[in-house]
Amino acid sequence: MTDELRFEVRIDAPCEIVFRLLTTADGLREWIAAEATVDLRPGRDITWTHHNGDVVAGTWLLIEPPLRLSFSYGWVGSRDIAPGSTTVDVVLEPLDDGAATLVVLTHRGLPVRARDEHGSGWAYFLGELATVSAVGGR
Amino acid sequence: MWVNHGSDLSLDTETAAARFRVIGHPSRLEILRFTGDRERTVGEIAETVGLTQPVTSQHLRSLRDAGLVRVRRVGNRRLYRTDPDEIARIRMHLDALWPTALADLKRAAEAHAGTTE
Repeated sequence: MTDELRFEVRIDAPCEIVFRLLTTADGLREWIAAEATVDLRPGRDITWTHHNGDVVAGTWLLIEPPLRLSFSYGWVGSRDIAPGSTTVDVVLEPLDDGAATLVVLTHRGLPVRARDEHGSGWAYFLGELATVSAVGGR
Repeated sequence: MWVNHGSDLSLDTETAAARFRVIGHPSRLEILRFTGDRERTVGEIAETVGLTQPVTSQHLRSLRDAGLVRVRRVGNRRLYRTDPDEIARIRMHLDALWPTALADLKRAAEAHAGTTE
């Protein structure tokens, strides 16, 4: 059984700026990646390394500048979220006559067990888990 | 600003609570630390954590059921190891991966547009 997570954010910038940040290596490095590689063509790769060292690997599924993109998503070395096993779909909707953008990101295919919780209750859990992860390492 | 439409929130809460119950025990945390970097036998774990083997086995059972520890048989021994994938996955999702990332995207885009404060 798989799950779908959906997130929205309003950005006070035109969609072309947002689209570039989502589809170029330089752009990804400005907000999510320590390192990134992008070959912006359907079937080609998008990969990046998170600041914590985890490596995301994906291939482009759909590229419709400047309003829509989607790519497969997985973590290198992961069994449950293997590369190719999930998809990230991003739709950009212009707001305020193009001065702003609504970003809707949908992440599909995550295994049910991987669903997360957001909320203050996790704070304690996070603290303990950080200690475990620091010792265990990946 | 944020709208999270994750499905079936009631089940999320139960899963979350179950994870709390499993992890929220000093001995289990000790076990996870000890098995974090290398496979260990029940005997090694028991000795390090300072518990009897039966009690240690019970804790390991709980951790296995939660998917946090994996076991491998070598001959007649069982070797336990923290599942790094599960830990990492939990970590990443608990770190609110996408909300955090999208907040960073917002900041970067607005800096380019000249609209950040």
